[in-house]
Formats: sequence, C-alpha cells, structure tokens
Amino acid sequence: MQTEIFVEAFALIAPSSADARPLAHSLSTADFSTFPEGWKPSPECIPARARRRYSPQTLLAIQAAEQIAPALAADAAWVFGSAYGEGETLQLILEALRGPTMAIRPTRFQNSVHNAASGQWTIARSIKTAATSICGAGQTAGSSLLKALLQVQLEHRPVGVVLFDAPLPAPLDTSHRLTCPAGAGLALSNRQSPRSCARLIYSLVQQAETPPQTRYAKDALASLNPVFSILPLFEHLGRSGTGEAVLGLNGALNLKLEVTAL
Amino acid sequence: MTDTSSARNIGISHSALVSCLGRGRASHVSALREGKSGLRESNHLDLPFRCFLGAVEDLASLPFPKHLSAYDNRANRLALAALQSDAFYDNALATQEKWGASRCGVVIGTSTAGVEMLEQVYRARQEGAPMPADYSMQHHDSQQAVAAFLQEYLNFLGPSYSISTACSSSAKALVDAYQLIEAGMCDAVLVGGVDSLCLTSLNGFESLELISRKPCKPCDRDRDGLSIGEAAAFMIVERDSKSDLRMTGYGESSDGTNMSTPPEDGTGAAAAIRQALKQADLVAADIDYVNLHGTATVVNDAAEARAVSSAIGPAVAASSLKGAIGHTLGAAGAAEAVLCLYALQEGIIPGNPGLEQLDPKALPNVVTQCREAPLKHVVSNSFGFGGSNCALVLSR
Repeated sequence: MQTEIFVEAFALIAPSSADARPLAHSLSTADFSTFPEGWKPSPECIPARARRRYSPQTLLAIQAAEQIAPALAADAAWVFGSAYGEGETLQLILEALRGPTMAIRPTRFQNSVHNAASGQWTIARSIKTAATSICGAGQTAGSSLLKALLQVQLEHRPVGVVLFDAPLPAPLDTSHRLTCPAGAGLALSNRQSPRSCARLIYSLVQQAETPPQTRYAKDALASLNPVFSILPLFEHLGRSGTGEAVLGLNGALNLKLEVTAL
Repeated sequence: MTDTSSARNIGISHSALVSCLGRGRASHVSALREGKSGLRESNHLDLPFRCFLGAVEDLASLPFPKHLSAYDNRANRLALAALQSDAFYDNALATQEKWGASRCGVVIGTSTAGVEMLEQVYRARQEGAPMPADYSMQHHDSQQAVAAFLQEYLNFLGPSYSISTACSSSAKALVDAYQLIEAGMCDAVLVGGVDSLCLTSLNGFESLELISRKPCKPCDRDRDGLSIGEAAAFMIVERDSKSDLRMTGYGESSDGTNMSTPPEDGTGAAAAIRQALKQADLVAADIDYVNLHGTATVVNDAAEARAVSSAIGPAVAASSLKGAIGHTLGAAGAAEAVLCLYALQEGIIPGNPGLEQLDPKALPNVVTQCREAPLKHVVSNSFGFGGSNCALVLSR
C-alpha cells in the first residue's frame, strides 16, 4: 500500500551564522554556528513575561509548532518527539529529592512529564485534537515522523510534527550529551494544496540512513542533538529536489521517504 | 479516524500483566472476582509521608539476563516479570519466528521508565559531584529504555518507540500498534505499558495534594486522592490473529485547557469516547461496561462521570480498578486494557474496590462487587497530564 502524503511546511530552529531565513529552506548556504549568548526560544503565543514559567524545552517546541501551524487545518493531530524530554525540569526535581522533605513544586511536577510541551501547546492554542509525545532515543526524529505518517495515512487528516531537544544542566549533561538546542516542525497533509511543496511516499527498508549532504547538516549532527536527524529530509525539501531520504529507526529497518518536489 | 476495514482482522493474541495483585492471569482474575485490593501501607521508598502503594513484591530476586545487565532497573524488572507470566515470553518468541524479526515491532507506553534508578544514583552523589561515568541514560531514564530492553531481549527488530503522554501513555500505545499493522509496517507488535514506583511521581502527586492517606476510594463520596501503583502489561497484537479479542475502536483528544485538571464537564474525555464508539461502529447501547480511569481525586472522577454520561449514558455499568492495583500511571492504560480482556473472557463485570458510599455525582451504576455478565464490548478510559485523553473499545 503506497500512500501519497504532502508536505505543507517545514521549519528549523537552530543556530546559523548566516542571516538566512527561513533556515530550513537554505541549508545549502547556511553555516552551522552557535546561538548568541543569552539566546532563548521566544514563541509568539507565550507572552514574554510568562515565558519563565516554561522550560527551555517546552518554549523551543512551541516555537517550532507555531511556525508550521498556519499550514495546518484545525482538525490536525500533533506528534511531538523528543529524545531527552523535560530534562531541565527533571534535574530540578532530582535536586529537590536530595532534601529531607523531598518537596517538589506542583507546577514543576506537572511540567516534568514528557508531554509537557505538547500539553502546553494544546493549551496555548486551545487545541482539542489528538496530541502525542514520542521518544525513540537517538532515533526519535524517524520514529516521530513514522507515527505522523501513519496518522495522515490512516486517519485521513493533517498532522503537525514537532521535534525538540535542548542541552541539560549539570550534572545530567555528562550522561545526556548534546551541545546545541534545536527544534523542527513539519506540516503533513493527506491532501495536496496550493502550498504543498513536496509529495512523500514512505516505506520501511533495510537500507542505511542517508548521510547529510550539506556542510550545515554535517556540522549540526556533530552537536549530537537528535533533532538534526531530520535534516537529510529537509535538505531535499529545501532544494525542491526529487530523490529519497532514509531516516533512522530503532531496530533493523529504517524509514525511507521518496520525495517529489511540487 | 482510522479506516478500520482491514483492522478488524487484527487481534490481541496474547497478554500478560504484573501488578500488586500478582503475576499473570489467574491471580488477577481471582482478585477481580473476589474484589481484592493489592494496596498496602508502605514507606519503603524513603518517602517523607505515609500512604498506600500498589507495590509488586520480590522483583529484586528475579534473575536478570546477564547479557542485558546494563538495563537492570526496577522498570525493566517489572517488564521481565510480565514476560515470564502466562508463557508470554514463549509466545513472543513464537510470534517472532512466525512473522520474522523485522516484521515485529515494539511500542511501549511509559511515564517515567527507569527514572527510579536515576533517582538513586543522583541522590547518592556527593554535592556538586558529576554523575558516575557508568550511569547510562539510554538504559535507565530514557523513556525508550524499556522498549529498548524488550527489543534486544526478544529480538523484535521492527520499529520500536515509546509513547509518553503521562497516564494515557500505554492506552495510546495500543493505537500505534494497530496502526503499524494496518499500514503494513509490521505483522505483529509487542505493545504495553510499564511504570515503576518512584520518588518523582510519589512526591510530585503529593505536592499537588492528590495522594490519599488511605487506600484510594474511586467514585466514593469521601474519596480524597490517589494510591499509586506499579505494573507491567503487555499484549501481542498481530494480523490474522486467531484470538477473538480485538480493539475495535479508539478515540484520542486533548482538553487544551490545563496541564493537570480536566474541564469540569469532561468535554475532552467525552470527545475521545465518542470517537472510539464511532470508529468501532457501535452505539452507546452496545457498550456493556466502562472501565473508568477513576483515579479517586475529587475533580477527575466527577468530570469523568459527566463525560461517560454524555457520551454513553448514565445507566452503563462502570467501575474503577484503581482501588485494586492503584494508579499505575503510564502503565495504567495497558494494565487496565488487559484486565478488561480478562473480564471479556470470563464474562464478569469487575467491582470497584474501595467504594463504600457512592458519590451522588458519580455514575449511578458503578458496580460495587464483581458480577457475572456476558460482555461483548467494553470501553476503557485513560486520561493524563497535558489534557491527554484516550478511550479504547475492546471487544470479543
């Protein structure tokens, strides 16, 4: 069974030394860099004064989600994927558990769940549709995209995919290694529209992952943030090319995407 | 909503459950029939307060496979105990041989995976010291840690990932299992939920003032909060299944209102239940029993009663099993789905352990004691933080 799925929008939140916007569309010319000192995710739907109530991970995810949301109908489902989840909040809880009272702030606990970002996104936008939160460790990008493709195909509706991960504070940073925050969004639909930029056909294959082609993607992947595993697909989408991208999954098979530019 | 025309050939061929009530089907069926609770007063986790827990005993004495010792933590020991129940391990291997390793996937729902090990290691550190070099997130506190252990142990080499949407996690995992097979990506999927007792969850719910000091009393007028439990529950879902047990419908929704409190009218939950019925091509009158999420918090039980009344009707027979096994958090959806499968096979409507005086705002037909009843279709509700709602229709 081959189902055509359409890409309506894609976005990347990651550092770039070039002022290339949007970054996801200009990977071939952008240079991977580091975010400026003090950079913080700044989603427009969360007022600046309220952002301190959210973890950097959740803010990053919401910023990625709002970049693709205009391309999705109201009945869209949402798939959030993160390898490390709300690690910053977890570290604050772990520190509290070292004390005699083990007293945890209630809001901190409710925002420690892996789906805190998807939950806060649905709250910020009063979304009532299905939202899920996926972890596939180092293969979270491929796993989340697979789930989204299943939903588009079988539930016949658009799906927004949001990937996010950010470095953790000490001491968790030594066992949870990544050096750069990143978020990505991908709007998928079961129907072609004037804004559709590519058609995807997906399958599982015993085939190696597609290596990154651009210098940006190669450097970004060296930062060990699993979000960047999506870049071989974005490289195709950004240059409006036709070809295939194979993204990693856990197990013996990987996710093959045949991309046709529209 | 999924086109289920081909999904009807997908069935639940095998199941296994470990909870504070015991290991495997016989102990759980016996407990359901007798209305037993496995909740016991305990403070064995250094908790600064006393409460009742649904702890699984004797996990430490379980021989853990040496070649996978890096995965040794309480969550994976729960998983191992479930694999050893009701010949589930043998059935899993037979499934893998039947379809081929790469056609067998793994989808696990969990809220905290092996974070209990991280808590131990983190608390044992000297102030300011780094994490021990041999601590591995991949094997313990990653939400994928249990699925990774299962994938390696069983050599299920199809896609493997984890759903982590708090207390709806493993109900939603069942949706993924069906979708992977329906789309032709897998022939069989090991699906389920695992969550162990841990300080993060217990102190977290305590901070929200949601932990009862007594065994929890779902649907009771005097209910005052949760009792936390732990569980591992697995199912093998496969195409061309000879089993007559099916998930015939599911519904998923978001409240979109609050991270930890549902809207009073239960609209999000009701939407999920309606979707599940529609997908199963059933009407409210077809539902013989509702397994309530029924956490025994004041607000949640009342909202769920309104949701069920609205989507199915107030007269449906219903009960919560949280008084029997506790709230097993990310494992709850799968654990209670397996209990529903037992109920379907046995022809029983389980009672509602802990219930003494029915809350006037509860559903009027909350079943206090287990009774015989031929069951064809049941609904199992799971709701989680983040306003994540999932309703399953399980049928025989």
